[in-house]
Amino acid sequence: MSEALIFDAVRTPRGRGRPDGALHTASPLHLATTVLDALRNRNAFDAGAVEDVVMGCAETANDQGANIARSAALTAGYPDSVGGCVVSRFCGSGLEAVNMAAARLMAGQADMMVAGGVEMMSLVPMLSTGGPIASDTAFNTISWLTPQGISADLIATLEGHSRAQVDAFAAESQVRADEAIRAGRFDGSLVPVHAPDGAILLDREEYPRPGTTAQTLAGLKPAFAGMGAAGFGETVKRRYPQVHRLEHVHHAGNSSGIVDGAAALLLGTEAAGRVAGLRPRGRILSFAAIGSEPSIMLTAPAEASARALRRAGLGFDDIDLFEVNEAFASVVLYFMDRTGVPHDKVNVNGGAIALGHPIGATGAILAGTLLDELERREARYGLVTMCVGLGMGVATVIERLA
Amino acid sequence: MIITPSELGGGVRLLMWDDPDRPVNVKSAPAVAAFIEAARAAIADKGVGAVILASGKRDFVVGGDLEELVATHTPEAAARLTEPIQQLFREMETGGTLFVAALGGSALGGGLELAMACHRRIAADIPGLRLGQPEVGLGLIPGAGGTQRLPRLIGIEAAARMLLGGKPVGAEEALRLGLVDELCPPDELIDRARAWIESGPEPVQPWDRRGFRLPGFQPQEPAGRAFFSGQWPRLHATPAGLEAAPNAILHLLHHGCERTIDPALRLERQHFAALVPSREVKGRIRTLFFGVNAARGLKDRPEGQPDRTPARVAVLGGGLMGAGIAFALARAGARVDLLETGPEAAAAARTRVGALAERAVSSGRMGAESAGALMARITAHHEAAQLAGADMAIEAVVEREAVKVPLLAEVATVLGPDATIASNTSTIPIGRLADACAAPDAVLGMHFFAPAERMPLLEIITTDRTRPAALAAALDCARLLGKTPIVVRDGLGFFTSRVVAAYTAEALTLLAEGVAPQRIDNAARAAGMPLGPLAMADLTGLDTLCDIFASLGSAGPRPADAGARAVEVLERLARDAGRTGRRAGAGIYDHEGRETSLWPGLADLFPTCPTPPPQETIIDRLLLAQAIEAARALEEGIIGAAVDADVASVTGWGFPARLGGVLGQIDMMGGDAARDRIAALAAECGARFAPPPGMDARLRRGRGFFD
Repeated sequence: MSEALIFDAVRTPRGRGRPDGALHTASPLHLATTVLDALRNRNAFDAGAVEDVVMGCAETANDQGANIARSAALTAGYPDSVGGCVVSRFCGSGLEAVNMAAARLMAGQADMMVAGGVEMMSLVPMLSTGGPIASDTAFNTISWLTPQGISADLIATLEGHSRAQVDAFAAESQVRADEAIRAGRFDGSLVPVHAPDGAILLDREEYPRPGTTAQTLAGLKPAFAGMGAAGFGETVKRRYPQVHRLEHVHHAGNSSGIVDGAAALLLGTEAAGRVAGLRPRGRILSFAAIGSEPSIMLTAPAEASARALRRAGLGFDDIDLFEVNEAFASVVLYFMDRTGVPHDKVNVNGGAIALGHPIGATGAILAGTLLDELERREARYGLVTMCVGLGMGVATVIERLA
Repeated sequence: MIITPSELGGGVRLLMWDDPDRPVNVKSAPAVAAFIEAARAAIADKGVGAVILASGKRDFVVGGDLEELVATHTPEAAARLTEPIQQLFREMETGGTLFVAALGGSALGGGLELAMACHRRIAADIPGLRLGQPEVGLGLIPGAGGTQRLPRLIGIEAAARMLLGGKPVGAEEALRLGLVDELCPPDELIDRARAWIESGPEPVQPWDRRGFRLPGFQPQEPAGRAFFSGQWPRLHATPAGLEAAPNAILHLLHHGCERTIDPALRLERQHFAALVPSREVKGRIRTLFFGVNAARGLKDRPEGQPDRTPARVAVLGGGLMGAGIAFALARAGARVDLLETGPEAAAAARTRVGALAERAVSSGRMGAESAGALMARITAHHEAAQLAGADMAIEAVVEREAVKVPLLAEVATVLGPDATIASNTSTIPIGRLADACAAPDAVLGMHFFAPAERMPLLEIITTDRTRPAALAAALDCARLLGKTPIVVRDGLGFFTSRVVAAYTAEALTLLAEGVAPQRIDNAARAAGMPLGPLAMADLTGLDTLCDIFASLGSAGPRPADAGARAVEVLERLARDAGRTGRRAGAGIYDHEGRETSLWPGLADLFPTCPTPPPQETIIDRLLLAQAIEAARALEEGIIGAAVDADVASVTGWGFPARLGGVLGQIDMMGGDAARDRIAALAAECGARFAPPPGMDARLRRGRGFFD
């Protein structure tokens, strides 16, 4: 079996996913092109060696439709011989792209791959692709339709996560992100996004709110109480009859931010790296994707991680750093409760609550963020995991080499 | 002749639908055949350019023939029922002949489907005219294009409201929605139709034109997707979410409206064919159509009795129940004498009725004038002597024998031997109340359900002595009130109270076993009960329930009590812990206003069992306990027929209609499955789950109550 090595990882800063966000006048194609450009320019390698560009994108409609990966490869000036394909595993798309690219390398069916993801939530909002989810009532009965925020509140209700606990977690995410930004820990991997006139649209993370505390968060109104009242407060009891009343603890301040962004990693076999003169920074050891009960939806990361770790012959204790996507505060609290992993190993530079979650790109962003921090700490093993819509989880175990 | 053609000149043919064998026009097999023949003849006739459809009855066409549907046992047969008419409708729409529906009265179900297959609908601007697709109420969906033409005419959102709610709309709303094209006085219908025909319209439906778009949103637009994703939780937060028909309607609105009309109609037929032969539909029609209609037709009214509708009724007690009964009576046109204990209480009782009238006005259900007239029919008194002259008394005072007995005796004397004396007691045997009255044969029970002005069921309780005239009067009163009356025999808890008590007792027993209360209530709601039994117990009051169970057990232990722990739980909560229910803010749950929360102290009284039984087991215990107690009542002769038990359960305490009713659920499960399940429960939980001999014999033969 070949190895799947990571030669480099880059990402755009995340812009607020609204019309006044700095990246809103860019396009998904431009964001994806920006990271492909940066990978090639930073590493000065022959892009013709790349077999395929695999990009995660959750909402493959409108300007994100019709194979944004191939479109971006062409726009970035990669040779015509470099293909592109898009994968969608909802929120796990970016990490799935990394895993699929790694799998092809490991299986000997490619020598060099680009994996990444792009999502411009300000332009192509969630649910833009339609599908049976949400609008096909018969399927809703099968999957027991539950909006993600309701699922997050359901986890908090079942686990007894209080509003104070989820707010404290969210505030800590902001503190860690702020420290990381001020210490310049993201600078090595961020690539600025430019406007047509050459001006910089964004070269730093736009979403964080430094100074956020549990007290400031305490004033925010629960975001999903209206959905609860629209019927979901009752429907969740059908699958979780131990619930008497759904407690709405999540809001914009302790849920992941809606943002625009893109990321890409350059992956390859050892031999391909040698030919191209690339120094491997890390190695993808194992990965896993699992399904779980779709209405609570967001509880799979612990199990997905355990499965990926088993494949790597490792245990949770062997892992130095975890990136557990902060879709909602209760998702990470649940992960830590179930695995026993201490908070000081999890999301040490903040997470999506502070920095934002450009759905299909986040997995690729987190893989890069993790590798950067493993290098900074000279630590060895890291694990990325994400909860995924319709009840799924995806995980990747990484080893630092450089 | 069901369909009579006549020529109006100028190539216009009138088809008059007037079924000589029926009081109303319905889409029976012979009528459909006649209509198909007449319509095809008109389309084929080169001399006919336009057809006007009209009815010789007060109404247009008001539905199909349910007997035919009930006799349909396979999807293929169900599809055959609807294929010919669907086919004809397409011929009408595309055959080059104009069709105009002249709606002089209501068009419901298949009648509205026929009207929608016409190129134009003109309706009489009269107050009683109703247009709608009420099929969902019987667990059905329209099968002749109703789910597809309606959204194409008025948009998905309004169509969903009509199809899911089953509630018809009036003429004005129909015009506003676009369901009809114009309104006119009834005698101008044909002229208006001819005028439209003379204006030279093309015989083409909007949905047959290129580029047709539904009014409002399309299913795959963001607004469409948002609509459908919002409908799902709305539906599934209620018991209706468990029913096949509303789910099929939403599915058809979504998938059908994504397609052109012909495949959409095919899809509708597939769903219709799947639904019609189902046990769910059969049970629902048996109970809610045939059972309820027979009850409302006063099937148990003694023969040879003259009309005994009371013109003047004394209502004894003006509390919540008394006020509701008084309101309902006065609304129906009766004069009401409301008796209370003193002048202030009498005034307060009248105010209570007034509040109901005000609410009816403010919600638009009643005009201010009618409300005024209603209140003018109500006189409040505080002395029994003032009731003289009333035809009937309905007692609704506090549920205590010591209060009811002397009051009934006094009022019976004031009203005289010809008056009917009724008690609204839910548990005290009527015989004991009758003993106190001068004419015991005038006494019976009239058990209303709260809120009395709204709930359809009226449980009428007769004793061995009750005279036919009294029963006729009670039934005539039920008809006056628009209630669904079920006649039962006297006995502890009559029919409804003892069966509901079995339900409550099972829930309380589960609680005693350490099952968390929300699990019990959530299981009941998951099965389709409108309210969890423990939430209901808190509303009733745990102290009141103590009294009810004491009364039910007053003649010694009953089969229903074997192994049940209701009394123990109620005493420990209400008597020992002072937790008497919602009024006290503390019962099984903690209460604050309408909000309930879990009471942490409950686990101290009834330690939580570490592994609660699966939800299916809880559901079986809650529902089958009711079936077995209902079967006991049936075999004891308390209730006369299984279908009466089903009607009472569905209309009285919201037993899921999709299961057919409290006994129909056995047929729904199938006799063999029910037998095994009940035997397992009897072994596991005690002899209260042992079926009575008749039911046992049925189950042993693998039969339910209706096959």
